[in-house]
Amino acid sequence: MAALLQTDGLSRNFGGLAAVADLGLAVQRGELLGLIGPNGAGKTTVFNLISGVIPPSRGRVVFKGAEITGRPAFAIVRLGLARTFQIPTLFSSSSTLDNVVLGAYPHRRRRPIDVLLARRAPVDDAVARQRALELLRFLHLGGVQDEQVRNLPHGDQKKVELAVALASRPELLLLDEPFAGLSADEIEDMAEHIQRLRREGMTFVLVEHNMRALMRLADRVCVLNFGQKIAEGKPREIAENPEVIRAYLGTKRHAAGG
Amino acid sequence: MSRRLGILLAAAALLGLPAVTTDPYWLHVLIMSALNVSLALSLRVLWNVGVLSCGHAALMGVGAYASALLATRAGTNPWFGIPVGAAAAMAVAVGLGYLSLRLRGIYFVLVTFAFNEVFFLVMNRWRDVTGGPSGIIGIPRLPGLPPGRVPYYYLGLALLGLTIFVLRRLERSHVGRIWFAIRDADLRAQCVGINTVFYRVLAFVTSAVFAGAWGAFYAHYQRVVAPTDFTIWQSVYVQLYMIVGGAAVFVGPILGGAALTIVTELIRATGPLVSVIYGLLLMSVMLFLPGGLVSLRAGLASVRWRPSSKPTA
Repeated sequence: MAALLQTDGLSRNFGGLAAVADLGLAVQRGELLGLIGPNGAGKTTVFNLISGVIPPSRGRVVFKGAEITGRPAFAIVRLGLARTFQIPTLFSSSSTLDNVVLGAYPHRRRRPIDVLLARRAPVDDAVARQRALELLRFLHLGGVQDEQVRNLPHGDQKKVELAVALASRPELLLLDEPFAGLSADEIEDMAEHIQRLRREGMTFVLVEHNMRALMRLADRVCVLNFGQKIAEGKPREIAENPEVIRAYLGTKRHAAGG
Repeated sequence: MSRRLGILLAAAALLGLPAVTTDPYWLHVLIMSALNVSLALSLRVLWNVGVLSCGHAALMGVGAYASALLATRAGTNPWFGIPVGAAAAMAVAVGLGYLSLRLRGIYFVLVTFAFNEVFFLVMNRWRDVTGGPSGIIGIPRLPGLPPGRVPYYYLGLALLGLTIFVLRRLERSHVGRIWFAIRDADLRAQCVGINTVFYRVLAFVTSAVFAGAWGAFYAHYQRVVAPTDFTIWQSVYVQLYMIVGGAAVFVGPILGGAALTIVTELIRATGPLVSVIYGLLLMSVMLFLPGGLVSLRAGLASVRWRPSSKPTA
């Protein structure tokens, strides 16, 4: 079966630095691929290349059988490939609810007549609002729907990140360190949401430094170092791979214990 | 409710004013206020997507020159010049916008700055077409208007009303919401599927349409246009109207445009001291009212109702 997402020879140089070099990834529908590596290994750059935030220097990205290399970010989201950001990047002066409503943008009807008449497209708005409210309830954020997001605690902002990305109803979701800065309880909560979404059939690529959480969630793990793939396989194989341990995990105890 | 009442009273006072006085000087000041308020409001459309333009006066100039040339050279009906002026400014904004609004921040400021300078130089040098430094004279009045300033006063009020109505509606529509979203988090906006370049160009074009239309109105009101009417300084003044009034809210540019136009007239008699007074005024606003004149209201309210919460200087 053809992969949902595939990259071939994906590369990106920043000046003389090869941030990502000749990367080949294949993500099957329904799986969760973990992407790990030391700081500066190029994990976030991979997300930026796939989601169209920056164009690759070489190589190609294929999503659902169609090449999307170099297409603008806004077009790629509309195809069903969404992402979150490591540091919550939200519409800071809007409420939680409005952030999620904006996330549903790809599914809004955009008739030029509505723009010309500056209509709010009321029916459409109500549907988007309803969907956003359901998402917030699902993520236990119902209580803060009217708060301005900039006033929310970090843990809630991370969940709003997830909600905004989910509002576009993606088939593939790129999660950039969803557990970073969260407490143990919040990590548990976030991992549960991800598990639930997976049971509903969503596909994930997950960048994460929290090994314990990642190893539990991932079907497969890919390890990057200096922009290159140094290993790929089942979480257990990766945790025992000597090259990975040398480059990133340190000792086995750390790999197992997080 | 009291807000609506205030707006109605202000509108009634403005509409009834010519019954009290038809002093041409004050009518002129009010017409220029309507112009400056509209320019500041239309500049704020761009500000709402997080972009500052230094070329607003030149866009107004495009409308003014287009309409003036059409009426004096081709002899078409001057009324026709208002939509033509708007369309000309719009066309310039589409081109300039797609070239430069992919760039962020300071680059757009520089491009619009350069555009304003180029516009000035071309109007100043291309004597055969634009009349050079002396500009275009003998621009016809808008036909059908009775003589005197009062008809222009009412026309200016009508255009001002239209400007406020359209821009306010746009800001409150889903387009406005997208504009604010782009200002807050451009990257996130792209990643929820918003074509941010398109929406920024749309904001630029919207602001240009109003600048162009008001430029045409200006040409047929003053009946003379010259390059010095549309210099970079005029662009900076429009920015000041917006910022001094308070760019965060819709009424800011209205307050700023009206207040500064009237203050400029009041201190005109002081001659060379005008720029000094202006500078001091601006510095005080920035130091004491960083949110603009609109924050005066909140400041006064806090003095009145919470006098003990903290000592006010």
